Amino acid sequence: MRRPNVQVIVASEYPEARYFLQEMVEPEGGITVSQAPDVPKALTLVKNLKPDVAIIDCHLPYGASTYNLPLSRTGGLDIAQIITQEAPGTKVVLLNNLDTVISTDRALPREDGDTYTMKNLENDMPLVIRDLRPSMKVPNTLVFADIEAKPQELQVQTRTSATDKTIFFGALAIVLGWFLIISMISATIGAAISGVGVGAVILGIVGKLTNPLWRRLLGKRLWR
Amino acid sequence: MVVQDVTTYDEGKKMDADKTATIKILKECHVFSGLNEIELKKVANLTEEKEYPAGATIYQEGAQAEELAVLQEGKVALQMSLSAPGDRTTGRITVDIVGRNELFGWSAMVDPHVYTLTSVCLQRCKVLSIDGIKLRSLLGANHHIGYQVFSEMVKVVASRLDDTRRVLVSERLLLLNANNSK
Repeated sequence: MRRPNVQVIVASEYPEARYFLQEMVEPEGGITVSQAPDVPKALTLVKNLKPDVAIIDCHLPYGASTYNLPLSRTGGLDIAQIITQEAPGTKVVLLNNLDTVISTDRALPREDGDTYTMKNLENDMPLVIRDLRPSMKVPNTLVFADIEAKPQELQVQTRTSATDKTIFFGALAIVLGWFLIISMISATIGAAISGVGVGAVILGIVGKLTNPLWRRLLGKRLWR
Repeated sequence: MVVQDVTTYDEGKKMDADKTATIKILKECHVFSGLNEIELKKVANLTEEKEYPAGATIYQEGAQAEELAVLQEGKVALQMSLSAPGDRTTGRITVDIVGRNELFGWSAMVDPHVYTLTSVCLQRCKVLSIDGIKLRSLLGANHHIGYQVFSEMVKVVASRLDDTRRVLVSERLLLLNANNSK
């Protein structure tokens, strides 16, 4: 049976954040994602598409004409409440701290001082969503979600676990192998030298012990 | 509304440790930053730490304002209800978002002691709640505390008024732009 198509809208001022959110939900399959950069466009999408899920940044601006006003970025909660009232079938996820993980130059910061670009966002998902909490007033409809930058060590681990670990353990195996090979060659040579030495010592001792006997058998003159 | 009390002031050493922490929090809030240690201790005696989950309403617009709060952790949206002709409530508009160390619920200090905005937690919030009636008594009894607190609180009220005015202007800008594009 064919899976029904799920309509999702993602609303954030930041294109990188919208891209990240789209990348996050699209791999599920059977999901169509539409993007909105501000409140009016998000409302239009909600009215036209009647989405199943709306993922909204709480600092969503009211409109392009008010971008220069500091208080224009307070529309997320308002539109989330409107959607829960006007489109009760839509589940709303309100992301409450996208602004703290996205710098003002609209690029995602990295701990090494560099920034994520659209290209490397394809491989590195620097954000994680955690703490999904349903709203107390409208259960199962409005969900508050914390979003935060993925810890650097986790990013390194996820990026390098398959490659760097293989290289590290491979190099370690090579060094260990060569150590054993050299040890075995040295042991063989050492054993041979030691054997010759033992033989010489035994021969010397035997010679020393049998000295009077040889003298008697061979005679004083011959022995001299 | 579910409110979970995190700390109640017990006797002895714990109380002193809690008070020291509370004084530190109050000091970081602009409204109380002008007070000395003894004055801060008096205010700290009127406080209580509370935690709210995301989505919880701390103060409801139109309700009796009995306390004010300093936000310790999280983010709180201050919303104003909009009424259409015929007194039909159409929805709520966020006029400001309160951040860490900021004070909200100032209506508890000013007649008629009715909240003018609804405060909604955008994430898990920890607040230092201050008993409004007791604080008013303290401010009346100690004029230095009263002057310091009210002079800073006026700035908060003015800031909220300015924020609201800006939102109204931006709304009108949107209307104008919408009409021009038709």
